Amino acid sequence: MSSRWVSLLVLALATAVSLPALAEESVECSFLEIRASSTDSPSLAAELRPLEKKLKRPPFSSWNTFELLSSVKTTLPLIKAQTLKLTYGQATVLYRESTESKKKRRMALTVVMDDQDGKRVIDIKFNVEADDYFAVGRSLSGKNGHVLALTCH
Amino acid sequence: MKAPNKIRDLELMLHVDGELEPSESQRLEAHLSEEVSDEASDASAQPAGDARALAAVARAKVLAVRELGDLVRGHVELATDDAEPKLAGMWAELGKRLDNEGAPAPRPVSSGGFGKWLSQWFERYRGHLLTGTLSAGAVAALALLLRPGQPEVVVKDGDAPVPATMASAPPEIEALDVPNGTGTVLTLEDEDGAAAIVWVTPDDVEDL
Repeated sequence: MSSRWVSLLVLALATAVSLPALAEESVECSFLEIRASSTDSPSLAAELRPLEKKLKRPPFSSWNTFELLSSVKTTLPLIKAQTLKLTYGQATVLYRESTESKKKRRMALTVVMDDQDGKRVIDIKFNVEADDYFAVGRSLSGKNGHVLALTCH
Repeated sequence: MKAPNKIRDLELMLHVDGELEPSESQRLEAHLSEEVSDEASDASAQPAGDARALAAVARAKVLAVRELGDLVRGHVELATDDAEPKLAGMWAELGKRLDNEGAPAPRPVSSGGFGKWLSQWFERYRGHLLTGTLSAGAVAALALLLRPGQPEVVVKDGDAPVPATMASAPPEIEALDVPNGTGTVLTLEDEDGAAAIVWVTPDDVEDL
């Protein structure tokens, strides 16, 4: 076997090994901004059906009405922060890395959220499996709640 | 007056076989000879007559036992003489076999094919094979009995262990900073998946 064929074989192997890493250069994420309140007519936005069971458990069980304020689906590049405008403030999201764990992709993210007055609400780093939800909520005046839920894959 | 001295049959037999103590044997012999002499010297006395009768009986018994012994020994010797040629033949055969013990075993005849050779081989080494098989079985049984026990897993209803490949790990918090309030982390899991909730209670907003 000539050295040319050996080189091609090594290149093919290197390409095959690096393909999964290239595929994880970005993630698709969905963001749901929710306002929670207590009303005489309980309701749940259709877009929030996937979260219905979780919204019936504490701390969300304090409310019976969940309104979708905004919804964003976006692609997050690796190590490139992206800012989302929210009804109540804004959120900056950073996709840091992903790993294959137990046949499921697990992503590491950073979320920094500010309120409508520009005051820092939270700065958090976490990792989550693909299609699982992560949510940041806070209490608003008037006994309402404000929730930013996200899921990525 | 001298009482007749009766001699028991057992003593007579032991005397004939030479198994009496020397002193007892001498005494018995003396009695037998005395009676013979008494018979010769005084044949009219009544006690002596009884003694003579007893002695005659005793002597007859002694003679009979001795003759019987001679007959038995003669018969055994004759039987031994008759069997000697046959025993000699057996010893000769046994000697041949012992002489051939160290000689190399003849090679199996290969004209019958592999099946026949295998059959002959198995027949020849059957003992070795059985011994080896039994030993291996015994070792395997001991290994099974003495192996360390596996930890017992108790499964309750509705609480079956989940295979590792199907297990879902909930979201994990790596770092958390809530500068203007208090953060509470909750994990919610259901059939739709896991979710982590960080609930922030701002300092300037009353609690829920």
